[in-house]
Amino acid sequence: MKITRINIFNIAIVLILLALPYYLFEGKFFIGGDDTRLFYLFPSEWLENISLHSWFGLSGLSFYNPNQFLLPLLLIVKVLQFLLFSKLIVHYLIFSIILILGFVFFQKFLRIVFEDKKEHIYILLASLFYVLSPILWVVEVSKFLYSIWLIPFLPICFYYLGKYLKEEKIKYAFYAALWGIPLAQALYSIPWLLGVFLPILGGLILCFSLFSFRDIVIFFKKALIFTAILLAFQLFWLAPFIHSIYSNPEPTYLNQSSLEETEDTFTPTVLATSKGNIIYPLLNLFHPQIVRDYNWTIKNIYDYFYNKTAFLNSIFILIFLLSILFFRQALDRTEKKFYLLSLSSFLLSLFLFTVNIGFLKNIFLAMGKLPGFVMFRNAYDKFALGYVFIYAILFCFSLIIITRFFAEHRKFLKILFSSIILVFIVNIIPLKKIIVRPLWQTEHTFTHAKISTEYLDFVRILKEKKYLSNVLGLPFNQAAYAIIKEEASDNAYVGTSPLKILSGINDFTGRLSFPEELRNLFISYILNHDFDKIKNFLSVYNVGYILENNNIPPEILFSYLFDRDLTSRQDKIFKENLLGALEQESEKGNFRLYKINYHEKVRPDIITFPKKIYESGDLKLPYLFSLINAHEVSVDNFPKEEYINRVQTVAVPESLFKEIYKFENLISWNMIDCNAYDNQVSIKFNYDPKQDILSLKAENDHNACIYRNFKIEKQKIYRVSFDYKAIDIEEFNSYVDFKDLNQPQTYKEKTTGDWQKFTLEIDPPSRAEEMAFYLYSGRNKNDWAETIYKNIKIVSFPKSAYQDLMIKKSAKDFSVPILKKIEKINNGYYQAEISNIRADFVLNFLESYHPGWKIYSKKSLELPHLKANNYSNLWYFDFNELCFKKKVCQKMEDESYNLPLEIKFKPYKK
Amino acid sequence: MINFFKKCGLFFRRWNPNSLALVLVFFLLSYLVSDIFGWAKLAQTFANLAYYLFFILVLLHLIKMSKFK
Repeated sequence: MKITRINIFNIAIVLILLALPYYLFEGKFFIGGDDTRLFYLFPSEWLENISLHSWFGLSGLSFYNPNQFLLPLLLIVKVLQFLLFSKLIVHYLIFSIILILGFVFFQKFLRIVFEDKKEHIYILLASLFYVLSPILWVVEVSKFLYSIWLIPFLPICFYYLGKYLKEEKIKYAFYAALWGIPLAQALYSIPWLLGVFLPILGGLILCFSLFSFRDIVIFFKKALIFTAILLAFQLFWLAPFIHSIYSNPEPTYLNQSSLEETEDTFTPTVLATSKGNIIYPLLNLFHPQIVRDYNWTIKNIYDYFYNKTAFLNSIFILIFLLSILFFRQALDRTEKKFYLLSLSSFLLSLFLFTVNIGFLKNIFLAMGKLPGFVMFRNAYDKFALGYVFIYAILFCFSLIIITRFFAEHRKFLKILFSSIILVFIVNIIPLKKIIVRPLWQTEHTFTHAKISTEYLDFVRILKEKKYLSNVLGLPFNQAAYAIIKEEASDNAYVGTSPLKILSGINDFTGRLSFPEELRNLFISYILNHDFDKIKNFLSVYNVGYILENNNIPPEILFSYLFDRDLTSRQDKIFKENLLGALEQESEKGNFRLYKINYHEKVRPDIITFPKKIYESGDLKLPYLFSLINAHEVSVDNFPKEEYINRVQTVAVPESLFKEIYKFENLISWNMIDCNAYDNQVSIKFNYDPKQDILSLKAENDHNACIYRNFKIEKQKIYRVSFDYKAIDIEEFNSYVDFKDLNQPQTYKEKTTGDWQKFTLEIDPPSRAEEMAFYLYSGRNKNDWAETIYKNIKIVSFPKSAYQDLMIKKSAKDFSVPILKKIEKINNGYYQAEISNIRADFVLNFLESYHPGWKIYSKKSLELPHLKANNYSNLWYFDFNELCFKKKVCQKMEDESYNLPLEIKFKPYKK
Repeated sequence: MINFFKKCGLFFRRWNPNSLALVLVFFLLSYLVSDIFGWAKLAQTFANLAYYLFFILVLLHLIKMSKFK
């Protein structure tokens, strides 16, 4: 490398970037927050418990979650930790390397584009523009998600693509593919990646007429080969990832975008967040409106700094405008084409990043109807990186145009370049405050922290114990966080619980750990000190232990992370009722692991054998927690009706039922004669609000009826209920119509002449948008017919609540074998032995249900596999079939049978 | 159809899109003034107009540069 002024600059900047994390994080780890970055710290542990598996969960239920894209990075971090002896140095090095690679390769890429051999300063400035853009720091670097790896990946990819196109040597595609392996997590950030390529693709379409058809074909052909090679090298994680999308019975990550529920959030999110305009992005600053509206912690930085210095950034707009004015004189024909291409892409990405540009906002909202586009509902985030990347390229173009146009005014250029550097410096002054922010509602708790050695030692002991049951964290918080106070300060690690990573034991630490529809239910149990229900609930999720944390800084206890009422209810009485024997205690007593004080008949375990199971069709109850483990209903010979009632009071989440209508007057109803065979009006409608009684009367075979339209929400079931008394009518009718769909449903019931209860469940056809519900007086040819109604109401609840509780026969008693041995080999593989088999039995395996879970005994058993409690895996074992036909059991001396089993998550093979 | 595009191309070739750039500067300055006085809606309108104009400008340049001549 020649020693030129530019190179000295480059080396200085690289050194500054290397030192930057030491200044930003002051010797602590940048690990807090929702999306865990603990793998940068614990690569070996992550490999052992997470990344090699496709089945895992962090502070919550496990699911099919292939994570192999992290393998190369983890190995690199592990090797670096081995070589450098320090987790901290490696952690900081990774932070710096991301920026340094981005900075270096962006320059290399621009040199290819501009065939720059003299190493002009504008390329250096454009690269600095890219890595130091405040937009990038506010949106990407401060969150430090996987998408951060796109900062180096994009220029690397474009650099080798450029080389490949220019020199036509396939080796460059392979170089890019090789770089792609340690940067696989960048490719995993698909929405952000698309946020870069969409505007570029749009730009290509706008500019197609600039290029010859032959050039376009050659470009796309080569780009296709390049992409194919790049993706082929990513198959190590792409294959399981794609498989997981198509095999998951429940939505995750990518296929979430096709969910109606997510679609519903597209328009409101766009409307709520897209309130900015194009000026701040043009100034290379993030939208201040979003920061203000959502009270982001960087609001102060805007108030006291960026809003005041923003005028300095207008130098970027000035350069941009000048380039438009002079580009025709300054660039040659090919350069002009590429300039217009980058300008078009830039304008598109400016629109996508801003959205709120008059009628264009409506176009963006309309695009929400495109499948998958919902992933861009927070456009300010997903398009930010692409916007900065394209802006930096355009910035380089603009500088070249100005340099060439004002080539003779060297002084002017010197002043201009110095001013740009000055603006860069001004923009990065608040960098530390952007990155190192206090946790919301706190002042001294930051996203960079150290994990105390007391905790690490404690967890190491737990790991050796190889617990098979899950752990509940106390105090229970509002997220799914672990709070681990630092030893020497009041700061604490606040973020995803490291327990699973460090010990392999899954824990439930807060609201978000439990399935969405049941969170509030569990919290209500805690608030009401309903200990039986709490234990029921926990036993269903195989929670056998409680990890009590006695050292949470008061500041965090009073932050948004803890609900005050909820925390105050986790008091002495609560603990006395829940905490059983002390299992383990940390050195200073800050962390204690207790057994849960279950009833002696209940033993939470990864495998249980329910005695009784009912069909959902029989019960019509959404969540039958207690059926399987609960001690209060595990009494034999329990009368079925009472059993159901007990279960219902324990289990049905009231919160799921939403009252959408209660009859209070006739105003909104249409009153007609539904059998108007002649013009004689002989119908009467009357409502007595005092007694809440509606009366419909009709004479001579007329039929007084009222109807009303109700909007239908997707994926909901409606339950109409009322009491009625039919007078002089034999058959009671009601009727539901789904507007244009022509699929009316009629419901009939024999009348008794007394008050009768009527409950009707309506499962609307998927295309229905509105339903009309009819009530009748009934018909009587010779006399008055009358039906009186009271307590008319309509509730709705999610369809999913109904689907999953099942079994072959209702109220069947099963024999209870004994779990003789159970061993967890890894997240997706268990070995067990069951003894005392004398008849049919069911086995409830308390991992989240997935068809990929298979049960083997030498060979695959192909048993009926069902979902229990809307959550776990349940297999039905037919005694005759298994022990006599298939002969997989071993006969014991006492005439019972033993069955060795393997439970494997099939998509993952050891 | 091709003739129509050719005619459009000719029209725009004779026309200098850079004159639009001056209007653009005017819009940006108007934005600045409205923003300083706190007229949020007016500022937003000027910002939007600036964007539309940017786009028209780029399209004009594209047409001038393109093969429809």
